[in-house]
Amino acid sequence: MESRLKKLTVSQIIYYIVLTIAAVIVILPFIWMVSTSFDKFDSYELPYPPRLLPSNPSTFNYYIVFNNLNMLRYLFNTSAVAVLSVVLNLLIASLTGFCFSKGKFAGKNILLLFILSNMMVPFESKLMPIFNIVKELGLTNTYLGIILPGVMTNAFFIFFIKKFCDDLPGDLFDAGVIDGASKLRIYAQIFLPLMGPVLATLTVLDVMNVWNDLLWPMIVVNRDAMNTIQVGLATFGTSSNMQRHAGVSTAMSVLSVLPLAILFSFLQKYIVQSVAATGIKQ
Amino acid sequence: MKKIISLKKGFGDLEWYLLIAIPLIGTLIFNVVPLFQTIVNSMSNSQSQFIGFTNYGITFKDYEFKQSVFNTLYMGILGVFLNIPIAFTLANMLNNIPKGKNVYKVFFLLPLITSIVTVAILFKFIFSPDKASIANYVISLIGMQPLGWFNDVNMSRETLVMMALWKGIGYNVILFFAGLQTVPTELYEAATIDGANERQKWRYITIPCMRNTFIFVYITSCIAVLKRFADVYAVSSEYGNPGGTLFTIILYIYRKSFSTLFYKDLGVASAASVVLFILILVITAINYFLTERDDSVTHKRKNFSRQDNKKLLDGGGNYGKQA
Repeated sequence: MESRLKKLTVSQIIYYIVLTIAAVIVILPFIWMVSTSFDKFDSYELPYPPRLLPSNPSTFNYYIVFNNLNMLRYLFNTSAVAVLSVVLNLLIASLTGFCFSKGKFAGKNILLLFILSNMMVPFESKLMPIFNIVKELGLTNTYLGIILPGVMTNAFFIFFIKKFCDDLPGDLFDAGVIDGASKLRIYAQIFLPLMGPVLATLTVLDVMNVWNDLLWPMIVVNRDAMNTIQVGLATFGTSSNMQRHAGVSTAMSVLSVLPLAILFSFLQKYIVQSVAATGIKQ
Repeated sequence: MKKIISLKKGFGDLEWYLLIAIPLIGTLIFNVVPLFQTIVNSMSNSQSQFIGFTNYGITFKDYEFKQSVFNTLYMGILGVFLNIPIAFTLANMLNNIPKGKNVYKVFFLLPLITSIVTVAILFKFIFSPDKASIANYVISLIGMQPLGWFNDVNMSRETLVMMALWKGIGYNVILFFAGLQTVPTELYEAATIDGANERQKWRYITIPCMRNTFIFVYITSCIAVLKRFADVYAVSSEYGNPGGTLFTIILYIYRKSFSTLFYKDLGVASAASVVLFILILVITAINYFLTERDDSVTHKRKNFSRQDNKKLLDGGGNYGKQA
């Protein structure tokens, strides 16, 4: 250990110091969040002086959250929406990406451009018409309504899978054709199994986006029982006209972060990959 | 595209078209039609009569709209120009330490998986204006009076940018870190042999090789800040308070289309949507042409180094044997 420390140059020691300061700044609000959620204090005022460890440890705040708020329902809704979105997104994107990569049909480039046009028009600039369409389809206050506009226009995922398929040898496809397999079967039995790592990356990305999305679920859902966790959290915790109890707010926050944190502690490799390889902002 | 489309071929293609039908229909229903609808709405009054560009006139004269454009650009510019240099510096440091890279990466990833709503809740407590908040407690230790943070008209925007920086910096650090891994190590080795010092290597190898990552991060950041909504909404809900300093373009559109508290106007909301769309298009185009300059050189060099890498990889076995 000592010999290893000696090898560090002066600049490397400075790097460690700066990075550690940055890491502390990042982690401090989380520590405060967890500690406050386990702290019992009666007033709406924050305790003074601020503390990083609960002085009155209790699970009272969680008791309130589970008994007085629809928290479990929000968590269930969000999980259902996330699963549905991932399944549909991966199915549609992998199939379409495969077709645009290996398929030979008239107007392929134009159709690809047509689909990619989704990436050029920001979703936010066509909120009202999309809401009206979803309403006419009778999908307000449904899981499908929350995800359908995103799932059916996910040009980025399609493009990403097309890029991946482009690197796979065309011989695979020809071999399937010679054996007399249909296009759907070639996709399902030859190409889909090869897409594993890409699909994992896109899953991580999609779960993260769906779990943390606020704007669209807020518009399409107007019944509390159908709210996703973010909408529930936003309506409870951030209205600026009312004072909120810090303990209950942080308990809710902890519960909203926890599922993702647990999931991603196992998939950390894929998060780094998904950010690095795709670089898409939520 | 040069192929001549024949009718016979068209029939054989039918199967392909069926397989890609879902996103095609989706694009039609959720992109083409809404865009068309938005443009039509922006030129109609509430009785759906054509009124030309009147809504645009109303929008541009609206004080709240001007305010929202100013706020969006102000917070956007401040955020982008703080985020990118800091993230790049941190990524470089991360790349140059011998051990513990993954530990730091986990730390920087944490805010990334946390939703902006949660972050806003935390920051509203940490930066709350009373003296018991952590931020005010810390500055009281160095003898300063409590500040208003999100509640102060003169510093709410800066506080919000600080929050966005805290949330978004890890993302860019990871992106830059990944970019740094693609810089060919043989370039550094060659520079070391030629007697270059660390600063020169950084200036003449790292930064030019990172050009594409820079452009990518810069353009996506610009688009993201123009679409700023979730963070301001989470902090101030649809009010954009204090004093409208947190009022952004999307918040304006949202309020004009879905608000339950304020006066709604679909025509104005649509006009603002079209303006936002054009604004994003123009800023992306400007950025694109600004960064396009001598891209051909970079491109050639990139291809060259890639080929070099490939050669090295192909000849990997031989190299190994010689060693």
